[in-house]
Amino acid sequence: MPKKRVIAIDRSNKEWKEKIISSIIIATATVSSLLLLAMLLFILKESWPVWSQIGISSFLSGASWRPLGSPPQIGILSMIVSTLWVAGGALLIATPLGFACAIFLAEFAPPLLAAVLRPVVNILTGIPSVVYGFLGAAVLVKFFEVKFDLASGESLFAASLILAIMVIPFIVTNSEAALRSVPLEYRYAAMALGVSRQHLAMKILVPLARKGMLGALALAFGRSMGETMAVLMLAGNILRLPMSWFAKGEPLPALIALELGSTTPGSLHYQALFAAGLVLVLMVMTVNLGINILLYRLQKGGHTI
Amino acid sequence: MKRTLMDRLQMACFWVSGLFILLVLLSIIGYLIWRGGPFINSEFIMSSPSGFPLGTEGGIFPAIKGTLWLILLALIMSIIPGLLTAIYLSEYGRQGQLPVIINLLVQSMAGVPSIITGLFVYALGVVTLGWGISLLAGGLALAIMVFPVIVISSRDALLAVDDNYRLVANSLGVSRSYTLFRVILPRAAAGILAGWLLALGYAAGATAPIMVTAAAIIASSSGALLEPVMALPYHLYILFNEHISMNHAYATALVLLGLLLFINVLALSLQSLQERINSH
Amino acid sequence: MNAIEFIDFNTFYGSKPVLQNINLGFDSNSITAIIGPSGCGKTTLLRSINRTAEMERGYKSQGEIQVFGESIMEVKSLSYLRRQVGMVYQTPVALPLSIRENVLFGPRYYGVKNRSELDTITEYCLRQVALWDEVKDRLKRPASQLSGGQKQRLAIARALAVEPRVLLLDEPCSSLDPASTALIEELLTRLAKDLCIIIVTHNLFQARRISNETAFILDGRLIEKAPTAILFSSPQSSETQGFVSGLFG
Repeated sequence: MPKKRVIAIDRSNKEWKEKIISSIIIATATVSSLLLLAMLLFILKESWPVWSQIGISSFLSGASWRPLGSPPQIGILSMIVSTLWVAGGALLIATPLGFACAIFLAEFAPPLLAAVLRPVVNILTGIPSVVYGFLGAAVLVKFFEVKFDLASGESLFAASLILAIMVIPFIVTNSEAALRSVPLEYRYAAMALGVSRQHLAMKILVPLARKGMLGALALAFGRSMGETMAVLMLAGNILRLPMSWFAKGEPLPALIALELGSTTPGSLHYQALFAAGLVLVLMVMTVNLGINILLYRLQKGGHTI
Repeated sequence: MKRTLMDRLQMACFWVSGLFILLVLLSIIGYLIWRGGPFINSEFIMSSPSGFPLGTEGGIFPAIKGTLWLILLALIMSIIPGLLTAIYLSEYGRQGQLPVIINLLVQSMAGVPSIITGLFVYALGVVTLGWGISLLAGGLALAIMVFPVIVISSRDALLAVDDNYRLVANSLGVSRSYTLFRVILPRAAAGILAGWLLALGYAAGATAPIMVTAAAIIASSSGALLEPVMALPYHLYILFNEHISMNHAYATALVLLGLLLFINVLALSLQSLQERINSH
Repeated sequence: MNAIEFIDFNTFYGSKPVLQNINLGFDSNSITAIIGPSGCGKTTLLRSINRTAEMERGYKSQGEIQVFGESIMEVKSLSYLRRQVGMVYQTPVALPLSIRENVLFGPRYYGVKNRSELDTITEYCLRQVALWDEVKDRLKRPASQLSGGQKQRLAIARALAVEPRVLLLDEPCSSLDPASTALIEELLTRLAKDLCIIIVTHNLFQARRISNETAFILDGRLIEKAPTAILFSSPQSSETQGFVSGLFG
């Protein structure tokens, strides 16, 4: 069956089209990613008078928040401490449970149970924080009030507890992924030596996966610091420097959520909330970035996993 | 002997923590059904809040409508930039510094607390552009919040497509966009769609960003862009926090949870469909 | 004029040289086999011709390759170059489309819309690779259902459908059974009437069976190129002698 050449050679039209498509894609990707910087700059701009007039150190170290007093006092130390306390406490509770569950899922869970647990973890991630916060406040706080005969059961501890339950699924998913990404050769080598599965998991896989597991913790910590609804409903919302885990406090996200609506744009109060927001986002980004740098160092130190 | 005892103890811990996760989910769902279930009926779903204080009687229809408007708007505003950014990262930006930077920015964006997104949109949309507390501002805040979710899920779905297809198509001299539309996108469609659903669910449950940009205690939620709206998560917060009605709070929480379970289970099944396609 | 001409061609991955000082010509209407131990740069040489090698990170090249007298770095477009130079890879790849759409993947891009022309192309290309009779009743079925050997022939048909003048094959039979290999060798011999075919192979018997000329590459250098019979019976260099007699490989 003979065949003549049927396809035209000139495709300059197509080349043109492709150039337009690829420039649209590159432009969109660049512009939308720059949105993050735009957000930071905008918040910086809105909060600028606070930094220039009150100064970084007195804003951060001031323990008194009376933006409407005369003279107004705006210091966010107690909110920063509350934020760190709540998030650190949540991590303290969530880490052992999360890691144990991840190891269980990756190594020991019978396949059928694992097939049930994995979607369960995913679904837990999808439950919104307001539902966790509501249940925490309606059930847990009530329980504390009855059990310990308190006038009100809200505390940093209650917030930590609920936050812990919220971030456990994150820790589980990310650490399990890290454990699973350990190359199979290590498993085979260890099994060939006749090592027990438990020994294999604890002494070989966990150390090899520690980079990813640490990353999971950092993510969880960042998330706990930025979480709004649960802490708003559980931490007690008292603007005082918390002296213990069982005291009440008001983390930064709760402060912003509660007070933003009632400020006059352009007022010192308004600006101070943006300054608080900037501090919060920088704290979260420092944790995320810091852990990345740390992990990068670890990697350079000769460990490839 | 001591060694085995320790081993057993350790194993017990693993089992307990695994089952703990299961228990948490079951008790959340069970408790909400027990406390909220009896109050869910057609009147609760289909009517507006009433009584005094408002919400003690009536239903949550405007809140459901408002939430649907918000997530719809958020998705409309975020899928095109999200998908294009993902396409850039998986298909176009395979060399140089720009994709590394964009990846880093998107990753950092995913870590930004949602209240900060709300704060930004409050200053930009509500105050500076004069939208006021409105559906539009809330949609924008949620769109910014889910943008990284959409980029990351679509990017990963696209990257999971067999690279050999790109190689083969490339060596035929066809353009990237032709390959993308004819092979790569259809192949990754289920995974991309799953990502959109996850984003929808994430937006539907988010409270903090709409609390400062869009939500009202009572509104008709007609879909007008510059009007405030009611929303399920915010309504739940108000019912509880203002001590309006615990029964209605439980019922609202149950409706919200049901909506999210539905969306997430759909997303999970699409994801496993995509995994089956990829392993084929 | 040679179909393809390498002139003082060098490539690097990062700072590591891969191909060094290659001067080599390939005739049209003939099959040239490229042989050499694994890692010697055979595949890089092949992929340099249609410029798919430069998709790898860190790839750099110096010197020149000409396709029908045109430098590959100065062609109007990559698309123009790759239409002239078809390529078939080691793993048989069926695009996730129907059998028919696999063949028409290129032609549709290059603007063929007329239905009868599309039918003609499909049948002609599938006949050329001796696949027509096997698949003519299921052209609309997914190509993923084909066997490995059929997929590889489909890959050749897909490459032929954009009317290349050169066909590059990178160990096309290494994952196939002997029967499929025989089919492909037979059709390559037939295709060589109109095409310049270059095949990288680690199978010396295959090189002897089908190629008119053979080039031997070692450590990124061209050791020797000669008509196949001569290269295998009386090679000039002792390294070639050692390789073809199986002393190393």
